[in-house]
Amino acid sequence: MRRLLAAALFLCTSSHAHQPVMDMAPRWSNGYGIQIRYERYGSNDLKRGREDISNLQGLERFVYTTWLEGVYTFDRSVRLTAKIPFVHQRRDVNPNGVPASRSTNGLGDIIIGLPLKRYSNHKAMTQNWSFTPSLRMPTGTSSGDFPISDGSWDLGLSLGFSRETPTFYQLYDLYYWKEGAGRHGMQTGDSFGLDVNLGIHPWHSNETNSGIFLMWDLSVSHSDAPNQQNLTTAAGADRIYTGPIFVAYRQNLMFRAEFKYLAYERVDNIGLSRGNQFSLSVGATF
Amino acid sequence: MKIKIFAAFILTLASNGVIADDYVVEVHGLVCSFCAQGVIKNVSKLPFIDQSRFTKGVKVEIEEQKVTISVKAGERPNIDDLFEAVRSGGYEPIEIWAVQSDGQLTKFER
Repeated sequence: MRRLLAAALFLCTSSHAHQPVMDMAPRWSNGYGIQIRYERYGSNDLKRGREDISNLQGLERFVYTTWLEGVYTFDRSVRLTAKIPFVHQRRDVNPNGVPASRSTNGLGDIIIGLPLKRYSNHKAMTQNWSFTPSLRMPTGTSSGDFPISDGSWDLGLSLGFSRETPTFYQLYDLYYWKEGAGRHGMQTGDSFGLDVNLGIHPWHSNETNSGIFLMWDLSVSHSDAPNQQNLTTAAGADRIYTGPIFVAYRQNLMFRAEFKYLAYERVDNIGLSRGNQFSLSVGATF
Repeated sequence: MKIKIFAAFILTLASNGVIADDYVVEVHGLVCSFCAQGVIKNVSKLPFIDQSRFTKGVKVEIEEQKVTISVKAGERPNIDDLFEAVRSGGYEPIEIWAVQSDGQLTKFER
């Protein structure tokens, strides 16, 4: 039982199919990009179903992940992406009435994606459909009291559509993760969800190739229950996140800040809330 | 009479883009300058581009879906190479015009 999986840690980290640097870039042949993204979520809110309940034992869980992400564009219809997470996770537990704080640091599960895109360009609009198979490899540690990974090979699929005009941007992404059986009897539950980004491009400069995007995100997800759980690991859950996204770019550099407010959450049985999520990223394309 | 012939000759040259320094390409889908870096990157490498002007010889205007290129004095742009550079940058080139000295645009034929 001490090898209980930290299901939510990898159920939700980068389940989304957002691509490194930007959905629309690099769209040129032999283009590539790198991005560093810092992501934080967690809470000490205990839930039973949709209801907040007293957290008398002082349980909590916070996860801080730094993602190193890369993308290579063969031509605009085929990309290869890699997402490498470095995880610091901390939780307070209360086994047998004795408070204890535990943490784990290390490499998480690397995700390789192959976005296949079909672009169409019109006079003042560009759009693309994308189909992205992804593979999550069990590179994170699955041992110890607070493992980073369940040690399984997982398969992800996403179907996306995005459209952009000089002033408006929209992205819809439907994804599904099929979880494999992991080590030590651990297995997270399958998950699926929908991400929607709607935004405007309120300012840009042709002279300096700089500008900003202001967007709003809506993320709806469902995850099946893992095969093991306790109060500090994730139950299966339904969640709705929503919040603003700010993107600024200049030449080939891009900055993105995102806050996701947990607007709705229902957990199976009793479990810690995943909490609000915040992320910052800096990327460059070449 | 000589003046008329000379004027006709100049107009003929202009319509073929020989005396223009700048050319404007209409590019469908060009709506974000961050995403258009591939166009700048590819087009600026072409041998007839004058990199001393604009951004390495290329200016992107997303409101009009236009790419303006600066061409070296006395050279003509190779349209096939230019359009292929735009395509491999991820967009669709449609037409090209030469910018005359008075700012007027003249459709440039291959």
